[in-house]
Amino acid sequence: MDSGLLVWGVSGVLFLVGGAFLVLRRQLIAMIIGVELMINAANLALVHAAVRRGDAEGLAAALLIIAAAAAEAVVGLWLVLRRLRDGETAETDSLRELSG
Amino acid sequence: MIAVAIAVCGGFAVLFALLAFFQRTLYGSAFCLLVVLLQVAASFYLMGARLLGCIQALVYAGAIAVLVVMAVMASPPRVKELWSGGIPKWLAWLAILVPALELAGFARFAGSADGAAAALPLLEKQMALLLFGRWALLTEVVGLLILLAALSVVREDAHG
Amino acid sequence: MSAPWPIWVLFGAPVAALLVGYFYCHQRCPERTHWPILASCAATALAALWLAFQVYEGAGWDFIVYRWAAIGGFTVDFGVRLDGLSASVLAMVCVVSGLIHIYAVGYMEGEPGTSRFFLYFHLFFLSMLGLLVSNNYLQTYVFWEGVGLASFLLIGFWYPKESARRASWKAFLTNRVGDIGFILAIFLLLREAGSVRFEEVFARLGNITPGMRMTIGLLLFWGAAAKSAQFPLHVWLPDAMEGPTPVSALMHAATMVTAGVFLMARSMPLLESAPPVLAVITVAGLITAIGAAIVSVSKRDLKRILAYSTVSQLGLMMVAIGTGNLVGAVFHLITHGFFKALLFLCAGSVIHGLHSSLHGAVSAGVDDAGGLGRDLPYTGGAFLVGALALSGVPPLAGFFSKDLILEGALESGHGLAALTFLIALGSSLYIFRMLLLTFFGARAQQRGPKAHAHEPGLLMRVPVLILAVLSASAGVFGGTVARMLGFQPPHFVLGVAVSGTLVAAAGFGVAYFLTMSRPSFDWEWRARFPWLERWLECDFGWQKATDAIAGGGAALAHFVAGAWESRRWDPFTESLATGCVQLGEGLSAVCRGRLNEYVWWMFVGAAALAFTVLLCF
Repeated sequence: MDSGLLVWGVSGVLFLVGGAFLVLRRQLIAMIIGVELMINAANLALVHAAVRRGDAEGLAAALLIIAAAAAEAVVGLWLVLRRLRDGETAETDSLRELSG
Repeated sequence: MIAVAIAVCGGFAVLFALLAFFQRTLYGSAFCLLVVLLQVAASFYLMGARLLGCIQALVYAGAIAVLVVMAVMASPPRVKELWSGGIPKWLAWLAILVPALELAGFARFAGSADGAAAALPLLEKQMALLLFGRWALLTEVVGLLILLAALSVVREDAHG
Repeated sequence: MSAPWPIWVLFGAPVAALLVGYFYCHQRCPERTHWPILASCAATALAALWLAFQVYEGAGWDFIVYRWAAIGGFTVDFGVRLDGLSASVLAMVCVVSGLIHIYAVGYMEGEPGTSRFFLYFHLFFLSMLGLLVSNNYLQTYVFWEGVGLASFLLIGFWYPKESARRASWKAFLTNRVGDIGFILAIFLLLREAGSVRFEEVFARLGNITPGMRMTIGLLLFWGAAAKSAQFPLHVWLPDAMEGPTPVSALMHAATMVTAGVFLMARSMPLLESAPPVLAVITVAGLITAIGAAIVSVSKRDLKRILAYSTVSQLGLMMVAIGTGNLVGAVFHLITHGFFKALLFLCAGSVIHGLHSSLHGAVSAGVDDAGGLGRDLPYTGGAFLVGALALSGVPPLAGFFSKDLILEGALESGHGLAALTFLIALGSSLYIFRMLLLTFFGARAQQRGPKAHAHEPGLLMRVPVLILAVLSASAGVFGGTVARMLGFQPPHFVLGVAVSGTLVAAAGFGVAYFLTMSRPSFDWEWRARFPWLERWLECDFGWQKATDAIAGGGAALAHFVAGAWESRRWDPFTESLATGCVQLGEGLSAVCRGRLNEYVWWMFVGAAALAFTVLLCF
């Protein structure tokens, strides 16, 4: 069995499930979870490809991505918490300022 | 053999991702996310990128997933009921069972010739050289990014 | 050869008069607008006479004054061609125009809008000049339209009256129908001969197929038939009598309606090379002449009797053209200009004299006249001269010109000659009927003697006198005109001359019998045969037919507008707008505000892009 195909399949499904989170769930934290899933899917594919080719750049990139994702999770979650602290709901129903 | 192992990890990752989607509470979703992340870490390790697997487990699963859970828990009381009403029992049992199975498998087949992909010290060395050599600037930038993220939170909190 | 300065006077004077008249007189002193215009008439008449004399002596001009546009090999020029044809007709037109302008000053005195009248009148004069001296078909067409416009403006001069408005529309639109033929002929000429200039077209006739020559000739005749009121497009001329009498005299008797005959005369080389066209012209002319003569006998309005007389005489001119008799047609055109204008001016004097008893009507009928010879001797005498000229009694002008036509008809066939004599008989009949009914013997049904008509002023009498003299004496110019047209002076066949005179006398006799021996005959037959009167009233049904055609067209337009345009097309075009709005509103669903949807559309877009890229590469 070709492990490459398998990994790509897993990566793809994880990406799509993360996308489903983004599109279908209303809560912001759920959307952040979805984003994390998508990033991980990408990372999985990246690392697998890097190992197969023996390419160190891929591994380095995956590491940097993990770091950036950490920063992003911090800021995103903190924004959600701030909104919750102000007494409003962190759901997309009420976040309508981009409409029009 | 490695392929089977990776397949198992990948399969569980997919399973838990789907489970995360259909959870009623955010707490459950966060929990399932945690398991997914750990599975991905295992995949990295089994592929041969040992260092990356450890970093994934430490940073992603150990910090980010925890952050998410903490965010869920830290939401105001009236919202918390909606979001963090606890996870189903069977999920908890599953979450314990799966790593146990994997560890058992790993222990069983780790010793054999193709139990896991060989570690790639050369590759990792190259990675290190890259990160602090040619991509040094990029590494610094990402580090600054993390610093900025932390500082922004602190600063705002100081005001609020 | 350089152009002699009178040619510039010929155009410069009317243009200057119009400019001064409009920009100065019309604004500041409307009652004096006719002064520059009369001066221009005098100047152009002198210039025209001088030029005619030069052409008689053998000169001739054909040059381009101004090249307006050039597209490839096709040019639109304003040119001047002065040869025998244009110079002779030009002389007549300028003289008659000048006299009628003077008459109009007296006739239109006291009317509101005289300034406008004179400006339109002179605009017509200018367009007529441009038409006569043009050296190419396109320029002729432009000024053809110009005279048509002037006709529209002048027939509808008293535009508050609905009948006048309708008459001017009818004239304009009927002429438009004819103009289609004219412009199509121009297009065909351009394609076949590569030029519209007379010289060049006639030189290249050999290159055109006979069928095409016939088509062009027929199309040109269609245009001429509208302008010169031939059957089937004559329906506008009787209604055109709604305009003031000077308009009827100048345009619808002496000059404008002769433009069609003039066009045919100009195109003679083309027509002669396509004999079937000549046959068509002859037949149309015969039908027109005989039919109009019969209808004229039955008319009661003075001006309409003369209008149908004009139609009949134009038919006669067309018969002359059809028999190839260029000299006859042109000479009759010139003499007809004199005596028909005279007859109209006399009718105008009668109307003017009966003014108080007409109660505001613009024309007089036989019922309003009767026995006016006592009150209007001068006018009656002038009318007698005109009537004699029209019937062709020697030695007046009409005799010579009509004789030429009769001779030409005789050469073409005895049947044709018999019909032409019939036309002469009819002409004599209707004009003497008019003379006798109007000026002699007050009848019980008439109001003339009680009206106490008075002779008009000097301004109106002098032009009438001059025209009477010309109608009587213009016969001597027959040889002149023939020479100018390039033919030998005609010699008169005694037999034809005598027969013509006898026919005229016979006509007089019948008219006398029907009007003087049995005074009430004109009213009796109307009472006894009302169906006949109705039949004659609408030109044997042809007026009704054209009304039906025009009405049908209008009804079709209304139907299309109602059923198709407002019911289907307008909602469709509006639906385009609303459809766009709805499309916009539908598309704006993309940005309603929910973040989830935005993410979804981002995915869709990215997927589509990736797909396209994969597909293409």
